[in-house]
Amino acid sequence: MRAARRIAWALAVFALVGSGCKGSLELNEIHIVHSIALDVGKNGGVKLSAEIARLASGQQQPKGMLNKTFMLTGEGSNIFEAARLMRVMSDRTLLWGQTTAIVISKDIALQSLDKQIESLRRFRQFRNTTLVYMIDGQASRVLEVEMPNASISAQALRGLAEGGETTGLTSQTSLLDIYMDRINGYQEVCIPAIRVLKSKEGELNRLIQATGFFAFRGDQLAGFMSSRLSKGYLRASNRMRSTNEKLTCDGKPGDTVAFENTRSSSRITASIDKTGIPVVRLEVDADLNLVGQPCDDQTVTPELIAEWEKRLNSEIEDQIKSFIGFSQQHATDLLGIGERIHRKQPQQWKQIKDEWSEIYPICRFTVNVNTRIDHTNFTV
Amino acid sequence: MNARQTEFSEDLAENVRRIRDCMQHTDDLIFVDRELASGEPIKIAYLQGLTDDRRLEYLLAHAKEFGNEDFAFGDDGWRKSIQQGAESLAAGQALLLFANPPGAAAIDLLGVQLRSVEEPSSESTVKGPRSGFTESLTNNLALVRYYCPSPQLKIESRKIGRLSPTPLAVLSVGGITNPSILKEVHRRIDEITADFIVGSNAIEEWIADHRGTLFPMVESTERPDRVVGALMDGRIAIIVQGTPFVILLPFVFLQAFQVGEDYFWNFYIGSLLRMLRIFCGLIGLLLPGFYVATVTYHHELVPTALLQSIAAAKEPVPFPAVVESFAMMFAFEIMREAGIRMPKQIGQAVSIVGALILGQAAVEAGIVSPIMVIVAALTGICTFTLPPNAMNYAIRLLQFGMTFLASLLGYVGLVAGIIVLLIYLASLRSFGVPYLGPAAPLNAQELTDVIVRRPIPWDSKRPTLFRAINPYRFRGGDK
Amino acid sequence: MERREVISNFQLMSLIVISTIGTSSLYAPATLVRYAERNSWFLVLAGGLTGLLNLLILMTLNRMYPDKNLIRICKHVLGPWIGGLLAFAVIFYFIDVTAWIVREFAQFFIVALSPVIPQSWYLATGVIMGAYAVYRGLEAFSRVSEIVLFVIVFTFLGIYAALSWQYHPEYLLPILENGWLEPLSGIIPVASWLGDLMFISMMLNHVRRTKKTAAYAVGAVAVTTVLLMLSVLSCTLLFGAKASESFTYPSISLIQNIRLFRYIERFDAALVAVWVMSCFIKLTVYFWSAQQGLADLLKLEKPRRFLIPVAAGIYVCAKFKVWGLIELGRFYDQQAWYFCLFQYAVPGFLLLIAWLRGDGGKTKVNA
Repeated sequence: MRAARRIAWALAVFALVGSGCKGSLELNEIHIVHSIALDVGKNGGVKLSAEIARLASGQQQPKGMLNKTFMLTGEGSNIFEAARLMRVMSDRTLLWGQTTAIVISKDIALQSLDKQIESLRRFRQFRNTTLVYMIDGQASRVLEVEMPNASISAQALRGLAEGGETTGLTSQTSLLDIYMDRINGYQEVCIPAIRVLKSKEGELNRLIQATGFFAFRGDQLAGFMSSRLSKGYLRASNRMRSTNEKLTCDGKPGDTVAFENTRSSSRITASIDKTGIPVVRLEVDADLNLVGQPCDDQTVTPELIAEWEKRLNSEIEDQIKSFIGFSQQHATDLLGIGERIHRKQPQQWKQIKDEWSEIYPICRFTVNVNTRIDHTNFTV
Repeated sequence: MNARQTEFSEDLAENVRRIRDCMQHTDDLIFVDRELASGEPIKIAYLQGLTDDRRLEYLLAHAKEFGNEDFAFGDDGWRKSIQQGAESLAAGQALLLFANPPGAAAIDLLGVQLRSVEEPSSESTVKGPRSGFTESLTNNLALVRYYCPSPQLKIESRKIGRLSPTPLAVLSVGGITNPSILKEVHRRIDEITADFIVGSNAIEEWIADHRGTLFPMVESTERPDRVVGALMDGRIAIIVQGTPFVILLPFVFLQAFQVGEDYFWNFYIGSLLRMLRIFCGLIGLLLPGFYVATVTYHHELVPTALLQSIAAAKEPVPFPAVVESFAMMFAFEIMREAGIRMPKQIGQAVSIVGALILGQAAVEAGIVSPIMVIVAALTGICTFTLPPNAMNYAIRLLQFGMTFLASLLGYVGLVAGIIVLLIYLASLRSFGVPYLGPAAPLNAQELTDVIVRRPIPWDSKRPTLFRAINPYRFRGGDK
Repeated sequence: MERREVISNFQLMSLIVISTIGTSSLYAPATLVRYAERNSWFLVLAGGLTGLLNLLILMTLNRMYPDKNLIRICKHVLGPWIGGLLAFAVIFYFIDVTAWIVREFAQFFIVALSPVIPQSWYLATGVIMGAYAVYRGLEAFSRVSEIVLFVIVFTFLGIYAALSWQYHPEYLLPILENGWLEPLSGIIPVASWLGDLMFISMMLNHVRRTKKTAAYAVGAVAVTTVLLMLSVLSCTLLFGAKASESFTYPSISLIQNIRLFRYIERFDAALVAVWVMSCFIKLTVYFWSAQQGLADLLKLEKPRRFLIPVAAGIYVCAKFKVWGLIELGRFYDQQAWYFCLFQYAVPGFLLLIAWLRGDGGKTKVNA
């Protein structure tokens, strides 16, 4: 009797266990997706493309990230449906969790950014740190690029973002950053832009290049910031670590003195003055090194350095001012001025909160730049 | 043991016949006739081969020179019944049968060829004493006395086994060992109803708190220095005739990761080695499960490049990861067992064939993926770092279970397994001492002593876990 | 006759901390932020005070009847009929809470790990673990809780520390812009989490009493409050108030932000293990309380026989309790008074009656 009961138990457990192993996915059953691209599909739908690594099988040594890739595409009324249709064409389940970068085409962002970001977040598998880029044109082209330097586009995209701090042209903007900015409403969203360069001979897509930022106003695309504006934006929002600056030589328009900017920091203070107009004070500190040859027959003297510093101050001030001009023109509060006022003067903020989009363009900005040229010894 | 006793009669020949009856007419039982100095006839009985030849010859040759009073040993050496006499004979004593008064004197002449003190093969050290116990109880007791020449060392001899009484000794230190634990040990030894006992494991299984458990409830060691260390902590040792393995109790889980050698190195090295062993124990238990859960459920955790490599290596293998890992772990166990059972000279060859050729060929044939070979090998090697006691085997057995749970529910299954294991361990007790102590119930100070090895001059307190009467090793060290 | 089970002060403390912090730390940031936005840390602080109040009630009751648990106090104070009825309600509450926790446990793993594994697997895992622990007894699982406490506290602190360079302290400003009363609108859910101490009234008579018992219990509530506050704070500091609200499990999102050595991230799957442990402890203490209560109420000889039926009941109850996560969250948020009723009102009522009866601390009460 006892033995019978035991056998019954064992059978029950075995049956339960045998029914299972439900959620598991063996590695031979999946494709690892490295990057995805979102384009406008037919009938207002979404076209989703995924870059997938082709695994070197057989007796070869594993190659890590040096494998060749292929692309799968699916189209549907939303991202989920597109992804599901992609599975129909694929021999294996797609693993989205390792996605490094998402490229969104400008056209689809023009429709609605929130919708796409929300559905990407709901996809659940994506990492918080997945990078987001935008491109003017077909986003799927980015995934097809055959680069000489990296075999997987996702690697190139990641590298671009990591270089952002030093080039001053792009920055690491993750899916979570954009989501947070949209939900919290502390500041407007800004997404780095890229473009695909063709090879010299003609048709082949050879390289991916960072070009600047797309700025949003709420859900809507507000405008494109070119490299100069981007620099101003990154400087003002204290997201730049280093870049390079140059000054033209007097009299010779072609010649320039080049400086490496080794450190840049900014402070923003915003408040409402008695007239009810917000006043914003922007202070920027920057350290620079002389890295190019000075203009002809110039000797580096303290006076010369002081003059350079002055010119650099106004140069950087110009950059920032032009960025502020851009943002006020498009009424997109990229620096989160409104939230800064809210934090500092919550009572006054309540009165102007509702008209903020009208008030922002008339805010008074003062920009104060302090540059310091540290080293001029470019020979060791 | 206390069956019906027959007294010796006054008739020597009758006594001889009865002894022969009692000992199943065994052929190695020898009777020799001699006379004492007084002319009184006696018979000397012994078992051939069990007695020391030289002393036996001396006894036989010089019997005539002894008087009756030379054998008045008192109760200890005087056997009144046939059965007692037979037992003495079986234990290697010679019997001198007297007609008047009726009885027999037992003389200890035991002389069996035993091996000498050697370095214990199961617990080898790089630095530290090299002598190990042998199969002789008296020899082992002498070794302990040699390492611990203390008048407080208390040895209590017992005999266990109804049919073949095996001598054993219970060792404790007066003034340190808690008398209630000692009493409990004696009580449990009294309760043993076995007809015979072979080796210390039989004792262990009889006196353990929990009989159906996979985990060792007592420690066993071959090293006298370890026994003395344990005695000084207030623990109790049981030495059994016929085995070099001495039982130490009470025993707690974390002691399985300690090795006597920890105390022969600088304390930094000792502590690091001890932590390394605990870490290896964890790897040994969890690594295959962790690997299986990661590659079948939680792919996100692996860095992209690594996942790509693992996937590429896994590409030609048609089995699920869990099958692969079971196969590899099983193969590893087979190789290990083969390595132990083989004669030493062949063992080398087996390990080379097994590890190199089999592993390499299996990978090339696409039966297992190379990463699985790494996982299985690392797991196996990690369990080798633990002292070769029952804990080692328990961990090796449980790693299969953990892998299985991981294959069902991923990390959740793994953690559920760990929790159930912890609950089980926490509910165990070894002679009233919680098995997971000092980690749970927590005693922070002693836990550090289990995980790291404190410098000896700072270690002035005995562990309270074993409820030693005297809590201090020495005064004033802890500064 | 079984040996009387005894647990230490520290074990009591770890049981309180783990079972209070375990599940609440998962979604507390999201729920609290809805009421108090960036001031939810203040709400947690206030909740800590209500937790202390609850503790005070339970400890006073225990001081009056040092050798009785809640069920026996019920019967003693209110007589066998009314008291028995109330005791039965309390036991029902214990079983119900256990079912809630099991359901939460399953729901959480489905969302956080893998939606493919069937819910009943997780439910069964939870119930089996709980039943096994109850079978092994109070001492066994409270010992395990000591180990778990360290794992949990160090993991939590580790998570918050690893993220510290990503924090934006300005996200907390302005502090209490609408006065200190407004955030308190969410006091009921917070009180129902931090006052989740009902089970200790079943355990206090097993604690090896020293002068420090009260101090340990208060310390436990303090530790819980601090940990919960840290979790709320770090979510607010990292995501901002509104974004935290939009997450189902902000703490998991928090972990997803951790990144080591440039490539290793998504630790959430591994760290979810911590929540398995804490859910397990919480579920076990309530399961044990229910079991113990049943044994006391019905004067069972062999309470272990009822283990499997109770476990099966909990499984069924958990399975069909709510339809999904949204409903679950809604219940916790809107119907929190149900939990508060048992956590605060029942012991408070008992205390009042006991005080009216004049069972002061000095009165010797028959066992």
